[in-house]
Amino acid sequence: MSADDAMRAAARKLAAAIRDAEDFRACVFAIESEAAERYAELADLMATHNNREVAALFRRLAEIEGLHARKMLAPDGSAPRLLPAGIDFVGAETVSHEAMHYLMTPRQALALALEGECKAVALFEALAEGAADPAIRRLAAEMAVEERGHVALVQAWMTKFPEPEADWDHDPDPPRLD
Amino acid sequence: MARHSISLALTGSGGAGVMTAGNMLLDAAAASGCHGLMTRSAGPQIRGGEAAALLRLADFPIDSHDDRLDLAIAVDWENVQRFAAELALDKQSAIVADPAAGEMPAAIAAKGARLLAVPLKQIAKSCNGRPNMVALGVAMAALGLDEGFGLKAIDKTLEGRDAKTIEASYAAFRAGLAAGAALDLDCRLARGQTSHPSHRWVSSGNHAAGLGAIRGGIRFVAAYPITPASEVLEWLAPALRRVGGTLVQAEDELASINMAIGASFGGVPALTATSGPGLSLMLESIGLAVASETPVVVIDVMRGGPSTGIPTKSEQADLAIAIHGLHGDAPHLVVAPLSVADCLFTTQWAVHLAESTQAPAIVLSDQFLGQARAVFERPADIAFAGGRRIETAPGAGYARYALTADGVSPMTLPGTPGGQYTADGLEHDARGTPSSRADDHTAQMAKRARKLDGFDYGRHWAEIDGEGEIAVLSWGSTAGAVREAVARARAQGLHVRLITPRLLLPIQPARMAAALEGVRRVLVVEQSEGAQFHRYLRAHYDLPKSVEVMARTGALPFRPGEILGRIAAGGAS
Amino acid sequence: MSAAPAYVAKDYKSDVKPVWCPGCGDFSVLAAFGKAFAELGLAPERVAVISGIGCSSRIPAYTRTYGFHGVHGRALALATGLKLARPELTVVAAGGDGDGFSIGGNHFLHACRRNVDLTYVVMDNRVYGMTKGQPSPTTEPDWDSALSPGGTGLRPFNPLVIALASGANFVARAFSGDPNACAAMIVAAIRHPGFSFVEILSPCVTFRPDQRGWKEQVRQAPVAATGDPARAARRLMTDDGFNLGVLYQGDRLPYRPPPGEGARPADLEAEFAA
Ligand SMILES: Cc1ncc(C[n+]2csc(CCOP(=O)(O)OP(=O)(O)O)c2C)c(N)n1
Ligand code: SF4
Repeated sequence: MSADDAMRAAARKLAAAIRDAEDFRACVFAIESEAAERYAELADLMATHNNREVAALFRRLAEIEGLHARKMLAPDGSAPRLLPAGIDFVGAETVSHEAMHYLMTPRQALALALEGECKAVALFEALAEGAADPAIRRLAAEMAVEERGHVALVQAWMTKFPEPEADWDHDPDPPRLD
Repeated sequence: MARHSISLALTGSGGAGVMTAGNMLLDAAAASGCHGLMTRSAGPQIRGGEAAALLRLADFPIDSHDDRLDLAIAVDWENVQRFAAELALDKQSAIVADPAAGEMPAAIAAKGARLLAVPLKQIAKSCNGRPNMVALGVAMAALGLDEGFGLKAIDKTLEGRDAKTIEASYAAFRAGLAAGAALDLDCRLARGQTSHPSHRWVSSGNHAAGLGAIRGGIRFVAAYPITPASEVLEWLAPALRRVGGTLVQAEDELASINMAIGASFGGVPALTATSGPGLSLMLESIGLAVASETPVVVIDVMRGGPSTGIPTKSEQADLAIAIHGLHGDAPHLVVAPLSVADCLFTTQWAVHLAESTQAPAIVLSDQFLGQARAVFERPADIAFAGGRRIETAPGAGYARYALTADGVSPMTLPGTPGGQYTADGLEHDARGTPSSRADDHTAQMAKRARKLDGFDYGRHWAEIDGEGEIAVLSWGSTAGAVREAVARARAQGLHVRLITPRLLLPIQPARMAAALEGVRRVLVVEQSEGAQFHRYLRAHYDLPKSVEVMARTGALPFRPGEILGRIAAGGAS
Repeated sequence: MSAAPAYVAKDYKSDVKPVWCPGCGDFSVLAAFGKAFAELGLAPERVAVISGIGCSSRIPAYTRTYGFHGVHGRALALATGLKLARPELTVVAAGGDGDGFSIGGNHFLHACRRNVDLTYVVMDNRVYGMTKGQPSPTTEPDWDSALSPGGTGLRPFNPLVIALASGANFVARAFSGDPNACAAMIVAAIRHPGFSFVEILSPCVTFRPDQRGWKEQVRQAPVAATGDPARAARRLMTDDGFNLGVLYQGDRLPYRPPPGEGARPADLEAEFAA
């Protein structure tokens, strides 16, 4: 299954489960919160492995995703209603652990973030087309626009960092010196 | 003239039933108020092998065999020469043998005992009974024990069998009594301290250890079968079921010890039992119990080593591995029962110590203690104060391995909200988080040592008796023969101290120094060719200048007389 | 409106920072544990994660459940003891392929056979990660390493076949690259009574960088779970190691110790009396 197919399948599942705007908010909140948590985790991980630059970058991404999540809070600050039944694991925008490398460069890290944002765009676009309720379709379209904005932002951010050198993952020492 | 102690052997080969007869004789003697001890020797065959039941009956408490046999009753002579060294017959002994069994083996004849012929098989045949019941009758008559106790023993052994079989056994037994009464045997047992038969128990050390474990609170056992420890498990399996515990036959000893640790982590006091080969396999995980501070009890019923060694013989040569076998600095407990009866108390105490200190305890029993059946007074059910320190309402800062004054940290059990932690064999900090930091390692090492060194073991740490400048130091099953030797020495007017530690680890330097105060000469007695106990004493305690050592393999148990000889020889010099 | 879930994945994460290499598949397995426990609504204090030694065996400390990080190869024995002593707990054993199939191989056979209600998750990276890259029982015969130059030449161990033959009640394979599917698999394994075995292909990016390519190799098994051991065996024997899904789901009753009889210790004394 390609990544796009997977996203469309996830969107179909979401479309079927979401009953109203409140459900939609809850889903976006879960997606953004999980992405934020994962970035924080990756920031810790990179800090543990002494890759400060990428750690700082992930930390920044965690803050940004956290902001996106908070946008879904009600005016009184309360979290949206819980996820509708049938939607268990989210992960639409979450960056995968498997892609990590302790020597990775900021540009590579941003490329992963870009992948995440693109996944989110694909998800919301699919939802904007597929949801039965016109109100949901409208909300999804808005989110797709917003995520496209993030894509552009990350792309611009990436240009600030050079492409990794050919031997970026070269480490003259063997693993763990014990 | 009636005598205070009578020793006898019943020999015979496969199908003769001498073990059954021996057990019945012990039961009958116990019921009539006597003390007693029975061990066995058997050939290597799985079925049909030659066997000897070695019994000693007395009117005072005994924990060892005597120096010699008064009587041997041979149902047959097949291969009995194999036990010649264990059958301490002499010119004063009597042998009752069936003439139909053929000639007495030369190795036995050479001992010069008086031979009395009784046609055991023929008598048995005449009443449709079996020769071992005739032998039982002969023995009971020789000892002067009442017929009624013999009949009761038959009832107990044949419970559930048809009336015809029981009648035939009665008849053979009675015929044996008549035949025995007609013999000129000087084996009547006196009745001195025979008291409250109602409080009298008959048990092997292995079964007694099982009951001690349950009294101590053990409710989970995992083990792999091994001689001579299997009876601990076979007794515990139904017993645990009755009291609501669990016994699992594990796939090997690596699994047994880890299952026990897993159960104990869950809050259920747990035990495993094995012998030397199994203990060797368990060592790494006993270290895990040390590091993770999980209480667990390991009974090692020692047998002859090294390697597979002699599974059916006793030896005291696992002391070194029990004390030193763990890698790293791994404070733990090692205790040893001092008699068959003491297997109960010492096992119960080991559970208490392990639970109270959250550490593994190794109980060094041995084949003699484990498999001998003895008559003893019902051991009191002691309720130890203390036990596992459990945190039921952990606060926000709960730390499983907190550095406490006494080194014992309250432990939470799975299921307790807010008390979650990961028990770890990796060095860790107070919260259990893995750490290779020097300060964590130092602090955790010190705490694990402190909790054992600072614990108050009280008077149970050793059995100490008497005063004088001579002290005999011994441990485990050998303590039985030593105790008797010391009593005899005192009867001869010698002042002799007896020092038999029950607690072997952690060491007790202050207590041992007090016990040895004023002693000028020490005799160490042990069943280890390599003198492991002597080396242990040398390594940890200050001994006087004059130290003698009686150390040999477990092939032949010590007799009180030879120890007395050494005590007296030195005393005269 | 759906009922409030009692827990979310984050509730099962401890504050101990993993020592794993960035990119290691074990991170996703850890995430999947949290998701699975949350999905099942298990109170963290009612769960115990038990392991041996290895990179993957570090997992208990990273969860906020009870845990035991034991010695190399003995996770299943620890877990069995705990589950039999405390049947009301959810006990999950976890570790690596060396821990589970080499030094702990015997316990694997007997845990399958004993069928205690446990879940066993093996993070299979076909290498000894912790000791720096030696071949494990599941390593390909031609994989070159310092300890086995040119490869071991040995046929790899097939843990799923062994689990099935030894009596495991649930046999499945998942891939760490899809943590949601891993979580779903762990949920199914925990729910299924008896001994459940889940092999999670979890790349070791440090000693087996080639395993980064696993995501192109894995595929959903083309057939649904079967309860017929003969069919499952045929399927597993022809399997290339990359089919994901529940491959066998049996209905053997789990082993439970018989209930107690309510006796007191003093009741056991009668048989000792002379
Ligand atoms: C008795 C013992 N032998 C050897 C070791 C060294 N050791 C630690 S982990 C390990 C293998 C780990 O491999 P695996 O179980 O596949 O886990 P991974 O690290 O790949 O996750 C070995 C051999 C040990 N800790 N204990
Ligand atoms: S060495 Fe391999 S298995 Fe171990 S943490 Fe690193 S990637 Fe994971």
